[in-house]
Amino acid sequence: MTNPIGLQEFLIVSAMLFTLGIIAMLTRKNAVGILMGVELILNAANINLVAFSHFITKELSGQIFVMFVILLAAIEAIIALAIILSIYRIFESVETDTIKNLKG
Amino acid sequence: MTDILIYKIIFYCFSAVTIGSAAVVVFDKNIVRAAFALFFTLMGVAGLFAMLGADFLAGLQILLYAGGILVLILFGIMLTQRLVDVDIKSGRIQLLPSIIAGLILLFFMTIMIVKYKWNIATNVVYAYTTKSIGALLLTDYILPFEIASVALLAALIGAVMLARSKEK
Amino acid sequence: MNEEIVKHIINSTRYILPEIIITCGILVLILINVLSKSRKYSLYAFFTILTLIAASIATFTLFSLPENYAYFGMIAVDKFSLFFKLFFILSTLLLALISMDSKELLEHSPAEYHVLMLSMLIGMNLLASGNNLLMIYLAFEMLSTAAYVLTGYLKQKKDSLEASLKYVIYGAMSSGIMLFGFTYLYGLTGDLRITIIKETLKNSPIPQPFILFVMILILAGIGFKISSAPFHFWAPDVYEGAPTAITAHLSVASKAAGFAILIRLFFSAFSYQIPDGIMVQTGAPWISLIAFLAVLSMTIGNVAALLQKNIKRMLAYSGIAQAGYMIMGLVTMNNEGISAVLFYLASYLIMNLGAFYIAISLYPLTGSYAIDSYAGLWKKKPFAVIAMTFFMLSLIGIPPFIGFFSKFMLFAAVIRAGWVWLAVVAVLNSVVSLYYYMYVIKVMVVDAPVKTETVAMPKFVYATALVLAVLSLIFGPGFQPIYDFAKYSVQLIGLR
Repeated sequence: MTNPIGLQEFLIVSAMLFTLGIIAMLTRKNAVGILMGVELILNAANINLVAFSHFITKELSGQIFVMFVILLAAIEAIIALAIILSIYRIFESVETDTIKNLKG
Repeated sequence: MTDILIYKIIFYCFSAVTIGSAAVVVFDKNIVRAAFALFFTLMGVAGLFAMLGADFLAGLQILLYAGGILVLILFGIMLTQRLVDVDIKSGRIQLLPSIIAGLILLFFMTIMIVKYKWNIATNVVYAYTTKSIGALLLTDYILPFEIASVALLAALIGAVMLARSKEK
Repeated sequence: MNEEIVKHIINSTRYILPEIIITCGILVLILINVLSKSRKYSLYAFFTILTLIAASIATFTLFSLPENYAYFGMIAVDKFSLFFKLFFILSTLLLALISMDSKELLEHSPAEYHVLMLSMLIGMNLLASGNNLLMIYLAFEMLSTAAYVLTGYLKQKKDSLEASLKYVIYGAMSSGIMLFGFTYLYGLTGDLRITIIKETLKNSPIPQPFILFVMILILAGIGFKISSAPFHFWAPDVYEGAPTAITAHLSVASKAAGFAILIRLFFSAFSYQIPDGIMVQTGAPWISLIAFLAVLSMTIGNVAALLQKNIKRMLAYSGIAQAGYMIMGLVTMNNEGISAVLFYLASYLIMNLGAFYIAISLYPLTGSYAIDSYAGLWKKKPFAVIAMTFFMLSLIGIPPFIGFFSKFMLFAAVIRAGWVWLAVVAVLNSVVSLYYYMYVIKVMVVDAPVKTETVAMPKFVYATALVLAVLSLIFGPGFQPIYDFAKYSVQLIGLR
């Protein structure tokens, strides 16, 4: 039974997610907001991988790649949030509204 | 016939959920609302995985991504909500130009995707994937599997070291 | 069938012996930390150095084995990857050595520091040998996350944390985009392995705009790692905020890792060899894209460096320009050009690490990394000034230092490949760079002395810097062994 929805529909969905992720990365100033934009891009890549794995190759290599992407996304989120927490601990007593010690 | 119609409707529903909540993630000023919208995006993606026959991955997405990473992000937001906003960019790129740029990018990507003749394999098979993934992880993909554990170990050690309180 | 699989896995193990040794080192460090609760950081440094020496010996033994793919095409073990493994082990060894001087870095968490250092090394090693898009992405992220944490290691210092945050955010952005490019590459060619990708790209034509778009996406991630413009925005802030020992390591090792994967990807996947040995690009005219990146990096790096007052930021922009020169070496599409790039990386290790180590040594005296704080140091610490002069002259490319010979070989290869205009741009940029490198020397030698503390300079860092200075002089006229080693190592598996 062939899939009534073609490969291209899935690719367009992931392209839309990718574009939204790029816009998030460009417009958001908040570090967690940018991180969420990155998660959107990673999910778009995951949709690509599973779609390609399903339609083009007959193997599961794409799906295994997705597992590792999810793992690495988790690792990246862990590190980013640990850094953000540390920053809040330090900047807690200082009155700044942007973190701009280093120039630009 | 109706099967196909139902299938298409489900696909468009999942896509709408995914893209719609992704839009909220991008444009909502309230970061907590954006994080909750991200949850719906992740669920939508899990649904799309299921429609592509990736049953194990759909479960993994819900468990790890929505249940792990998203919870982590929410913790991060909640713990830092009352304090200073962590802004890292000095210049703010305006909303409208980036939306226009994004739309142009999307337009070009769509054209490329649609015009290319993908060599789609014949007889697409739906099968349970869990057993095959398990077998692959221990044969073809054994090296990344083992290295990933070392990577995870290092990341945990690093994160704990960074987030430890000052008294230690 | 299962028997063959098991046999293949067992046979592949000897190819990752260095990484196994390093992983054992990580476990030993953790065990020591848990069991003995020792805070003496020299203990951990000692074990780390021991592990690294063992790993380098293992890497040397791999040279005699025939080239092969291991683990079902996951990694390619060829002379090219072994060259880079030695490079990374050397840089990590130096980092472990000089960190022993730094109380603030190691006071609180010495075990974690060395574990992260070693895990970054594993990531770099696997990146240099990666043959499968999955392995490449995994190694890339492993290397990056260790780097993010190490950048923020001085968590009491605001600058360190801010640098780390910027590094994480920009790094996650660019690696996400690169991953998206990888997925399209997978979809267009149907396989994750570079060898198969090459065959598919050679045989079936894919519309150029699409492949070009994919290449640009991939270059976003790799360009970030090698600090090439226009993906360079993270470098000055991260270099300035991170602990200087880490900055030095990043500027050399992580950049080289990026170049390793850049060369492997573009020369193994996006080009192929026709019978008389010449390489041809497939897919899209990416050579012009690379040339454009090279010119952009050289120019932006050099022009921005002119305005810098802080030595770490200056070296960051100088690194962007140097990355531009090295990218230029890739347009040659022949072994001569790539060997020149490898040789340039080796010389860059000596010059750049040396410059940073002198800056570390002088910090207790001057209390800052501002170039103007080095005024008149010629009177008090002449040897340090001499060493720094060696490094600056080498970075400009003035004989008899190694920098001259590496630039010369690179430019010669580019000219011989027909890209004369590119070499001219590079030479002009080198002339521009004269100003900001010379400025450092001028401040140190000519300017009136500023008040400095009378403290001793950190021993290990200073000694290593002096050794590197001597090497930059000896390996100038004596560059042949290094260049020959680069030529020998340039054989990517599958290419001759």
